[in-house]
Amino acid sequence: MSWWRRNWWGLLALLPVLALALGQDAKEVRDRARENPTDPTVPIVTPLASWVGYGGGEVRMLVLKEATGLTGYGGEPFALPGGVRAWRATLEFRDPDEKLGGCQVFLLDGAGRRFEPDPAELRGAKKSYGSCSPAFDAAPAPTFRNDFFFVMPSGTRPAAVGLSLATQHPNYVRLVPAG
Amino acid sequence: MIEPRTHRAPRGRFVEGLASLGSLAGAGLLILVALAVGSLIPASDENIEHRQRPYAVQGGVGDARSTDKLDIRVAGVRGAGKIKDDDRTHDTGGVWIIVKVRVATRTEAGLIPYAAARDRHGRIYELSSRIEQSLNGRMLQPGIPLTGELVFEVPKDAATDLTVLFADNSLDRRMDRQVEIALPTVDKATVDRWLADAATTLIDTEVSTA
Repeated sequence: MSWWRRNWWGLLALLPVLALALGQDAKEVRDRARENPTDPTVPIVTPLASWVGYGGGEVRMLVLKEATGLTGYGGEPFALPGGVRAWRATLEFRDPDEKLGGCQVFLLDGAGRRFEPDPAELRGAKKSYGSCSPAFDAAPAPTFRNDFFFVMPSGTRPAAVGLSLATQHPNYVRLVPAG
Repeated sequence: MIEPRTHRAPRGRFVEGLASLGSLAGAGLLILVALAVGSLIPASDENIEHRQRPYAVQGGVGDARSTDKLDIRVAGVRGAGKIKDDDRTHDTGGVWIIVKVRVATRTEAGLIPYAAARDRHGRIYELSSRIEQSLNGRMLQPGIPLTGELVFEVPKDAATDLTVLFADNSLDRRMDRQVEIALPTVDKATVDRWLADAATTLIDTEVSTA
């Protein structure tokens, strides 16, 4: 009788033992892989000035350019920290039911790094705060525009502006500039 | 001359049954021994936190080190018995340890998730909440390093030998990467000199991109 035939039952018994031994680790590996499963990872690529429907509203990017000539609240020139450039994105919204009010807007570079609006580096500069809602004192209108300010390291250029709503993840709008 | 062929009488069924039973019992015993030894392995290391401790990325002052989210370089350290931030002086029953650090996020904007100091006994000291700290709660943009100071308040006996820790998660750092920067050791006389110094040490409450 061969070794395999003599010990088949022992080998079979090893399976549940292995499952018990490795099961906990497998769960941890799976949990880690599933970490933040609702991150915005699937882009809806939209060129400059084109409207895109998302989350019950519509949005388009009108401008994405370096924000030069920033001033402080007293009108004095605002000095950026060394090694940093500021960028402004202007988005237009068509959102009569205010479905996009809770959206997040971010700037992406070519390497996929994600920059948040209204950074501390621009504290003291006279500028609006980025929001996906119309201004409180704005007259009712079919569309409204808001500016979003960012900073990036000097020598880095924006590749796109992202807009996402947690309820729409993993889909997000990727607004790409011309050129 | 022809050798007579050896001849063995066939084993009886009883003997064969005994051998088979013995083999079965031996295999079962081996499994039991394996299970017993296996159960002893985790028992030999009673501290599960130790077994699941973070993976240390060690370095010293001036070394560039990284977690998944942060690039970090500790530039220097000083100690004091009395510090002053913007407008208030802060005394201590221990020692203030002020660590100058240059830090940047790698891929996305975020805060420093976890920074702490560990003494030679393994005791952990988190950033002091008694003063406003420029880097604590500061949103870092990727690739834009900021230099600022982190302030810890530690017992006198801990101040001689500290390691500063950085990690990507403030709550769960199990089996995750952790940067561990060993600060230069100082003798007790140096700590006493810090405490005896009547001058108040000014804390840098601003960060810089320099």
